[in-house]
Amino acid sequence: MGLLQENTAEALDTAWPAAQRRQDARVPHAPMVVLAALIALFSLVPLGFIGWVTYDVGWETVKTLVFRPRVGELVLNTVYLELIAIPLSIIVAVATAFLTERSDIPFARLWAWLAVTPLAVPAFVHSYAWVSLIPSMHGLASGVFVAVLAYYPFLYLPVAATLRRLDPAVEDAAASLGLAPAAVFFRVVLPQLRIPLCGGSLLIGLHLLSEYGLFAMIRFDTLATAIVDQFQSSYNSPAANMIGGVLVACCLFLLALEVLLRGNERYARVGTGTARPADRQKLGRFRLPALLLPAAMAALTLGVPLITLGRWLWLGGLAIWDGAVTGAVVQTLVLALAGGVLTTIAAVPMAWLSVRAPGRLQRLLEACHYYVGSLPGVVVALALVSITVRFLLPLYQTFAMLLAGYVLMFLPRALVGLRASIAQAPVELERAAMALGRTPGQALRQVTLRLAAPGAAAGVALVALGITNELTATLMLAPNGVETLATRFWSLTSEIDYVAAAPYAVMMVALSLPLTLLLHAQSKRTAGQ
Amino acid sequence: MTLLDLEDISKRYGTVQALDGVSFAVGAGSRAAVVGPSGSGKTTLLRIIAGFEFPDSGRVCFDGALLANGPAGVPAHRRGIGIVSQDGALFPHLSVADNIAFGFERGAPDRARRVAELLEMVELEDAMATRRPHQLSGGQQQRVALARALGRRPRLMLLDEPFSALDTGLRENMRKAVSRVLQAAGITAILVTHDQSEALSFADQVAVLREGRLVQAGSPQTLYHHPRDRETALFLGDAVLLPAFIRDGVADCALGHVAVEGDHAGKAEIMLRPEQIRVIADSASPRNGGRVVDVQFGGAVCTVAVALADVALPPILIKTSSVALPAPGDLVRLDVAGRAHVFA
Repeated sequence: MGLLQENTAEALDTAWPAAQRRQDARVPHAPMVVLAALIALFSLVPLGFIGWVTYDVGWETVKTLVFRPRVGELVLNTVYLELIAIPLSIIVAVATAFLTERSDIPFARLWAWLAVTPLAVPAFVHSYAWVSLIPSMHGLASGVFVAVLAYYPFLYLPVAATLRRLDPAVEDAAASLGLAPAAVFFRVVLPQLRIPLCGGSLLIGLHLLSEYGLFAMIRFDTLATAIVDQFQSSYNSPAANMIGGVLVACCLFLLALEVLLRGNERYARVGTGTARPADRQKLGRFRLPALLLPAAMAALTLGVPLITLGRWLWLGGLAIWDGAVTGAVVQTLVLALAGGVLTTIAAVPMAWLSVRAPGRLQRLLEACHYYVGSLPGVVVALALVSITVRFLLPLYQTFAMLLAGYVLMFLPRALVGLRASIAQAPVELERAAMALGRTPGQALRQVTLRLAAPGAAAGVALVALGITNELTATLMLAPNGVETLATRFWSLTSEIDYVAAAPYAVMMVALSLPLTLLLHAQSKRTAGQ
Repeated sequence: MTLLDLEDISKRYGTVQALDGVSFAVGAGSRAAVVGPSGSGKTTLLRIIAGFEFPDSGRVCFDGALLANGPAGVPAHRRGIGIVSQDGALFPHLSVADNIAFGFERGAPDRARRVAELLEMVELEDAMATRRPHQLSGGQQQRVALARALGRRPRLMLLDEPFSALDTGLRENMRKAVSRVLQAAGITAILVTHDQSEALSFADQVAVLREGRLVQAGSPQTLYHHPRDRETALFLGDAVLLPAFIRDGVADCALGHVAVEGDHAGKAEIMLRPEQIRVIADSASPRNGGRVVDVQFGGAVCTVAVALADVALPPILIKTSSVALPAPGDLVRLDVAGRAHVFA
């Protein structure tokens, strides 16, 4: 979800061009630059680690470890997964978004909510639900199927938001120029969806690269699952590190591809004033058959987890709600909150700089903050584990390292909200505080940070949501005895104790649901609805 | 010859009657304007002509063919009617040339030449062809939108407040340019606007809509000087409305005896446009005399408020030139040129 937020950040960039931002704040920049630079350096650790390991083991070893059939197979698996799952997600997401936003389908608002709700179900719980239902599920086809169900909301959200914003006058113009309704959709509407399609596809692509639990559960090998497998057999294996390198290369390739495909276009509405709300396409005799799509998606993405979880809970009765569940809830909440607060604090210097002192240095530092969020958790964890084992053994498997991992993975989420709300606190207020005798530091704390508090809270919440559903890095970094909902769920399902695992899945969904719905409501509000 | 014929068009949205039995005909080659305050139904009427909406009842006939008969009819993309909307509605993902060529038949061989011709027609430079819509000014966007619509060689062009987003100076310029281009191409045009002066200067036939009804249609001169009722009179320009008693073509009113049109007799309300009244200094206190109570200097056009003697009417506001402007407190006489209009 981090990248979804980044798209918003870019939108902010266009809304407040650099020239209009305040360049002359009186709170000195230097300490902020130093702090932001430290965080940026820290963000470079995973990438630096991969680079250093590659150099350290030597080209010959790299060749034997990377260029072998097994790695080729993993790369192919991952490529197939991306090539099939992303187009399918695009079709499903665009069709669903069109029906809920631009057609007269009955209960459109209900379907819109139901299309977003699957985000509250962690991907590995989706595959748990399907494997419980059809135990024979495995391989590429199943991987694609569950991945589309778990991730298509990442495309649905931005596509639906853009569809709501498109100026219907443009479509009228196309009709007056002789285009039939279907042609209007393909020649005028679809091209304007390019940016949300690129952003959403990138997000799904990165998730497909980094997801471990979903694919491990249905026995489909990807680069990420192979790294975790290697890691579990030996902690600092060059083989795992090298596959990590391949995985990072794939990520960077996806990021570059998206930049290339998205282009440097501006597809915003050209005219002035507000657009008329779009007419909903009359579906006519297809109005009832059209219900099949959103209803089927709701059944597959929500119905199946609901039914299987319900069945396991029913079978388990009260006995499965033991003290361990409560313990895991408490541990998860503590970790999520601590990680959320820490990540948000780490994001403050950068957020402040990018609003108050934009420039080349700031863009560079900010890029460091953002890229690390798109690295797979497995790579971040691998780097932290290897470095602590090698140089900082006392820190190995400590809370500090776990939290450090969370900070790296979720930095962009905290940054986006914080940056937007600092932009809402004008520098003039800070100056007024200083004119009334506050020191620069006091002015920052008492005025700007106070005003930025709502954005900071949103950042904490988003990071906490991520941590609650995080599995891979937590598995690799958590100290002995630390059991979050996700890791506890995972170890129980690994023992095929699906009944005992159910309460943990339910608790994860219960904790995520309010935040997910809030996110949807917020995205509608940013779209001006 | 009639090109477009609207017969008894009605359209309702929920509880709002957007159009109520509107009938209106537009001759081939003419320029018509539909004018009315916001919410009067003028945009709905335009969207029905374009085919974006269908009337609940009534018929739209275009060039001898029936386009809409109640809620059934020909969809927009098969009508061949051009439209230029409020802010151009250019396709943001296409260049200017691609926008203009959008409506061409597939694989048109002389595409580049036609784009160049259309650009020239709307007085844009060739260099514009590769630009993107967001790199154009508002006026340029409107010209591209016009060129795009012209590319289909429509017989009828609908203009949906195309000038309202532009600055005052540019607006007049664009209006003249569009007028010129359409005239040269021999295309019938219907302009929808809430700006009455725009409607009066653009069209040779104006229709006034109010609350979904067609109040009056006719030439700009007829509408301005012989409005059907006082709302229309005030909508189309400033007016001085006076109660009067009419006998033998002469109204007896606060301004003395004023010649009126028509053969109405008895009590009635008469209307004069302020430019028909002249303020002349006169301390003799004649019957049509009064005292200046306020003067607003406005450069070329100044406003003088005159309270008439012995009449319980609000002061009459008269636009006058800044030459020999009276001062507050001066005694003046109000002379009327031309005839007054009588509301029957």
